[in-house]
Amino acid sequence: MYPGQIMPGQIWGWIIALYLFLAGMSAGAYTTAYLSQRLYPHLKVIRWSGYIVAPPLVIIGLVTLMIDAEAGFFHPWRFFFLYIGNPSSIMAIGVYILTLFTPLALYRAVVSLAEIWRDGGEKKWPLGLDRFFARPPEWLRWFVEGRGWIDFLGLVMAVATATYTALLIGNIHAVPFWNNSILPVLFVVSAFSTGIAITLFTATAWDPKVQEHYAPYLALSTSLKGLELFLLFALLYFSWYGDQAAKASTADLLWGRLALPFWILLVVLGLALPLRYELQERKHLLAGHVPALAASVPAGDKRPVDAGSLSPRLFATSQIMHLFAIVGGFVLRYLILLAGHFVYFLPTW
Amino acid sequence: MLEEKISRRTFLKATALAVGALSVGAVGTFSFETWKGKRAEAERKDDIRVIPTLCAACSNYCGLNVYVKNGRVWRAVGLPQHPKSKGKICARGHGLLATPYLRQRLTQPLKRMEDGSFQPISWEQAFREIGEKLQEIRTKYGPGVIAHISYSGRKTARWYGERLLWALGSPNTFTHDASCNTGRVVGFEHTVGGTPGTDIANARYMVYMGRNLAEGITPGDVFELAKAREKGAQIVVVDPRGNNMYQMATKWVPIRPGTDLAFVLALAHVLIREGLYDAAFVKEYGYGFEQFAQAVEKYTPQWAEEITGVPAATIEEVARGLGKNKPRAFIHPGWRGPTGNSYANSVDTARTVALVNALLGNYQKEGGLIFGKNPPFGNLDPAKYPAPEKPALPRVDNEWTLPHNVVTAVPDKIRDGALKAIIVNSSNPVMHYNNPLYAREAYKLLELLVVVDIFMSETAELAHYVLPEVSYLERDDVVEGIGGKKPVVALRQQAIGKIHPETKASWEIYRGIAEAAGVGKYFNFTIDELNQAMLAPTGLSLNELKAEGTVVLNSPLLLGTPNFETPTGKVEFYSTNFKAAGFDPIPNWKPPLVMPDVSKGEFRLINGRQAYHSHTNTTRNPYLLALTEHYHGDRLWINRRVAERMGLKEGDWVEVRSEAATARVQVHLTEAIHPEAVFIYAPYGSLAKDAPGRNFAFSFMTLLPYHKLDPVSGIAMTQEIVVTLRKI
Amino acid sequence: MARYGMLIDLTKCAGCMACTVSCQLQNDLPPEVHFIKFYQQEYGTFPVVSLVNIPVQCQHCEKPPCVYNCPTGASYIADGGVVLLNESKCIGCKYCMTSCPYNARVLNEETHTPMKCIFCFDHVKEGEQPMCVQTCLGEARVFGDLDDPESELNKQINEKKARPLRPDLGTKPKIFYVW
Repeated sequence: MYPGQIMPGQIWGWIIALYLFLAGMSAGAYTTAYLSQRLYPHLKVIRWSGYIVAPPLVIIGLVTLMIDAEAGFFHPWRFFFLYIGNPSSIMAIGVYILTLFTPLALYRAVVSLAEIWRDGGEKKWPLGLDRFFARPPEWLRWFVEGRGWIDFLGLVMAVATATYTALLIGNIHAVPFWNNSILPVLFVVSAFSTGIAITLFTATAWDPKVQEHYAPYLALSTSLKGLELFLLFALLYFSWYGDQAAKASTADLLWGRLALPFWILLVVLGLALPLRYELQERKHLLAGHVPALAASVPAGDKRPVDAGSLSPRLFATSQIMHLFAIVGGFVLRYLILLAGHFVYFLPTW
Repeated sequence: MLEEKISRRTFLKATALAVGALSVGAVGTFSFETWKGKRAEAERKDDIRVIPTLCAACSNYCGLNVYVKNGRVWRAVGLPQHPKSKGKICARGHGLLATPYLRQRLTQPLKRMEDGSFQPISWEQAFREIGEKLQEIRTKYGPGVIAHISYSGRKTARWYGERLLWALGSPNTFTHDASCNTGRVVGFEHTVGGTPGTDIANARYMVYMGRNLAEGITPGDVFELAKAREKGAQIVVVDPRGNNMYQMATKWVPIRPGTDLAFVLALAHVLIREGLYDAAFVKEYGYGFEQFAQAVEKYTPQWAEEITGVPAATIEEVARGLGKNKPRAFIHPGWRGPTGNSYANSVDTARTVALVNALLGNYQKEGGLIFGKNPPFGNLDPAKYPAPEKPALPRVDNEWTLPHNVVTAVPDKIRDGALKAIIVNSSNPVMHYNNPLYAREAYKLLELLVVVDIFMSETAELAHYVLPEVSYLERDDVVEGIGGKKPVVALRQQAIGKIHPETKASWEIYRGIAEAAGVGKYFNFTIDELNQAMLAPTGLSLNELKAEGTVVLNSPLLLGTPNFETPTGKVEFYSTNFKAAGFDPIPNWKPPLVMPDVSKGEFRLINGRQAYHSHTNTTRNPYLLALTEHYHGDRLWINRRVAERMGLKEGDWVEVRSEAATARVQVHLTEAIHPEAVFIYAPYGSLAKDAPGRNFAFSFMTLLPYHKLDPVSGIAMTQEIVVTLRKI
Repeated sequence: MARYGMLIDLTKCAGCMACTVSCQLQNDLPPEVHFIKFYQQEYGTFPVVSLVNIPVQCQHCEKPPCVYNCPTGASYIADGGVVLLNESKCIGCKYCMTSCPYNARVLNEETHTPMKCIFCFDHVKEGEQPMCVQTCLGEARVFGDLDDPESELNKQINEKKARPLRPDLGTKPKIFYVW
C-alpha cells in the first residue's frame, strides 16, 4: 500500500460484509429447507426452521445495505434507478434476483406457517391467521397450500442470491484478491454451510429431538466445511503466487494486520472447531446413540417450549458450535473485504 | 461583541468551502451540452472579476491573476510574463488563497495586559501608546536601541520600516536573511560582487548542491528545468536525501551532510588539474587565481571521497561533465541549504561554488550564471516629501562586517541591553531565527515589542502591542522590481474588500506610528503617491501597471561582459574583503562544527523545505495542512536499514534528543537518505497557542544548540545538530 | 466530438502537488478532498535508489469499470469521453469506488455520493485547459484530443512512448504516463 491510498475495505466496511453474509445465509437456509422438504419430508421442524428464518435474514441484509447507501437512504426514490439504470451491472442483476428471492422466501414462510398451524391442531392464532389458513379466499389458495414449482423457483433464486453475493465483489477487477474463480465458490459453499447452521440451530432450539435425525445434515455440513477450508487454502495459495496486491492481501491475513482474527475467529472457531465437533457428533449418531440434548426431552412429548428449558437448548455445545460456524461465516466475508488491496499500478522495474 | 460576531461569520464562510462542494457532485445531472448551458447560466449570474496581483506564499512573489467570484476569492492562475511564475503557481500559491477567510486571523489591535492576556483596543489608542513609548525609550536610551525586523521579501515592510527607523534616528533594520541565505550572499558578494541568477533553460550540465528546486520552489525555475531536461541537459542533485527533484534529475549523488565544501573543492581540483577550466576567462576576470590553484592542489577526489563518502570517480565524472559543457554548465549558487545557513563551512562552500563557476567561465553567458538587470526606480520628491537622513550611529551588529544585517544576533543584543524596542512586521523572529526557547526569553526582556501580523504568531504572543494587518489579497503594496535578462516591475494590489474592518495595511500602520511618535512629516504621502514616484523613470503609469499586474520592460541585458562589483572589480579567488575582515582569503577545507558519532547511534539532524509549505506561515492553511496529514509530511526521515537495526517500523514514535532539547516524532523509513542523517521538513512544530502546526512533529530550531553563530556571516548553522533517537 | 486525454511526463514532474491544490480551488472542494493523489514508491537500496512519485486522478477510461458496475446508471461516459456522475441518480452504494483500480473516487461527505476529476470539462469546452494542466510547474501535463493525430498530445505520446497505468486491466485509460 502506498502512503495515502484508501483500501477497498475502507470503502466497504462491515455493513457490506454483514449484508453479503446475511443474504448468503438466507439463501443457504432456504436451500437447506428445500432439500429437507424433498429428501426428508418427515423432518418438518427442520424444513420449517429453514423456511422461516430465510426471509427475515435477507430483509435485514437489504435494510443494512440501504442504510450503507446513504445517498439513496436520504433520497429513496433513487433506488428506482436500480431497476432501469444499468441492467448489465452485477449489482442491478443482484437487485433483480433479490427482488424475486425475497417475496418467494416470504411466500414459503407463510406456507410453512400454514403447515405448522395445521400440524399443531388448527388452534386459534393471533391476527386472525387461523381463519385465513382455514378458509383462504379462492384466489389465494395457493398461498396457503403451497405449490411445488414456486418452491423450486425459490431454490433457483436462493442459489442465484448466494452466487450473486460472491460475484458482487468478484467482479471488481481492481482487487485481485477478490477477482478470481475461487472466491465465488468459497462464498457459495460458505453460504450453504452457514444456512445449514442457522437452520439446525433454530430447529434444535425449537425441538431438541430433531437432533436424532441430524446425521445426513452433519454429513453435508462437514463436507462443506472441509471444502471451505480447502477453498480458503486455495484462494490464499493462488493469491500468494499472483499479483503483488493479492500477495499483500494474503500476507495481511496470514501474518499481517488481520492474522489474529483470521486464525482465531475464522480458522479455529469458525471452521475447525465446529467441523471437529460435527464429525464427532455424526459418528456418535451413526453409532446409534441418542444425543444428550434430545434425550432430556421424553419421547412423544409435544408440550410447547417453556422458558426454563429454552436456555440449554440455545447454549448446549452443539448449539454453540452452530453459532461459531455462523459467526465464522460473517468473519470470513469481513476479513476478505478488509484484506482486499487495489492493484498496484506503479511501475515495477 | 463585534469581534465575536465577525469571527462567527468568518467561520460560516470557512464552512461554505464544504458546501461549495455540492456543485461538483451535481455535475453529471444532464448531458454534456445541457450541463454546460446550465453552468454557463450559473456563471453569468456569478460576478467574476479577474485581478492581476502578486502571491505572498514565499519570497518569489509570483504574479497571478486572482479570480474573484461574487466577492469571494475563487482561484488563481499564474501570469505568464512574470519571471518567477512563468504562468505557473505552486501548491502554496493556490492554498494561500484561503488566507483572508481563516478563522485565526487577527481582527483588532491588541494590547498585552499586566496578567499577560490581550485586550482589544482602538487604533488611536494603539498608535498613541506606541508613539509615546517609542519617544520615551529614545529619550531614555538614545535612538540606537530601537530596531525593526521584517521579512526581506516584503518590500513594503522593509521600505517603510527603514524610513520609520531612520526618522527616529536608528540604523538597526533587520531582515530574516541570516536565517536563510546569508551564507550564500556573503560568499558570493565578496567573491563575485553579488548573487547571480541561473539560466537554467539553456544550460547543458547543472549541479544542484542542496538546492532543491522541486521543494524550495520557484515555479519559473521548475519550468525551465523541465525544458532543459527535455533538451537533454544533465541534472545532478547533490544531497544527503533523495529529494523531490529526483524524478527530474539525471543523477543523484548522496553526500555526507556537512561536507559539500570538500566536494566542490575537489571539483575545482579536477577542473584545474585536467585543464578543463576556462583559462581565458580566469585570466581576464580572475584575481588571485594562482593562490587558489595552489590551495586546491591538495584537495584531490580521493581526499574528498574520504570526507564526503562520494566515490572519487563520481567527483571526476561531475567535474568533467561541468568542464566539457562549459560555459553552459553551472553549480547552482544554492539558497538556504549547504551554502546558505546550514554549517560552519557554508560561507566557504558558497565562495567555492562561486569560484568553480568562474572556472567554468559561465558568468553572463547563456546557460550560465547571470547578474540580472533591475528596473530603474525613482523616489519621492524630497522637496514635497521630506526624507529622513541615514543615521550616523553604528549598527548594533557591527562586529560582523561581511553580512548586511545579522538578525540572529538580536536575542543577544537584547540581553546585553543594546536593544530595547523592536517593531516586527511580517516576520516571526522568535520561532525562526534562533532556538525559539532561547529567543523567547530574550524577547520577553524588551520594553516595547510591536508586532504587525495577520496571525497570533509566537512573536506576537510576546508583544506589547499586536497590530492586525490585512491579508495579501486585501491590500496594495510597494511596487516590486525583479532583475533578470529583462527588468520587470510588478505590483500587488487589492483583490477583495477588507474582511475585517478593523485591520489596516502596513503603510497605514507605519504612518500612524510615525505620527504618534512625532515623525509624521516623513510620511505625508499615500502608497499610490509613493508607487507613482517609484515608477516614474520606467515610463509606466500606476494605472497601466494596475491593469497588467506585471510588466516586462523592453530593455534587454547584454550578455558576455560581466561586471564584478568586488573591490578589485574581478572574481576574487583571493578575497580582499575576507582578508580585511580577518578571515582566510582563500576558501580552504574547514570541517563542520560537529560530526555525529555513528558508533554511538548519533545522527545529524538535517532539514529542508517542503513543496507545499513556507514556514509557519502556511501551517495555518487548511489546504496545505491537509496535504501534510494525508502524506504524513511531518515524519522524520531515517535510513531504512539503520532504522530496522534499531527495531523501528514506519510510523513508530521516537524521541529525538539534542544537547538543547528533546522532541517527539513519527519516523519515515526510506532508502533515500544518508545513513548518518535524519531529516525533518522545516515548517512544523509551531509553539503558538492557536497554531494548528503545533500538532505536527517538531521544529528543528528547538533542537538547535543554544546560540552558536558563525563568526563570518552570523548564520545560525541550523544543521549543526547532533541527535540521538530512542523508540517510545 | 473530441476524445479527451492527457499525458503526464514524470521526468518533468516535481511532485509539488500544485495540481492537487489548484484542482481543489477550481472545483470548490473542501481541504481534505483530493481529486489528484500522489503515490510514491522507491526501489533499490542506498546509495543506489530510484524513486517514483506519480500523480493519479480519474483516468477517464474508455472501458470504465465504475460505469459498467454502477447499478443505477449514475456514472456515465459523457461527450468527449469524459466519465461523469449524475448525482441525482446515485444511491451512494460506493460500488464505483471499489471498482476503480486507480482509487480515483472520493466520497462527498455532504451528499454521500462519490466525486472525482471531471477533466474541468466545462472550462475545456470554453477553450481553457484543465486547471492541473494550466498550473503544472514543469508543464509535465499535456491535455488534448486523442482523435486528432496532429495534437500535441498524440505527438508526445508517440514520441515519448507514453503508457497508461496497468493497461493489462483492460480499462483503456486515457491518461498516459512517461517514466
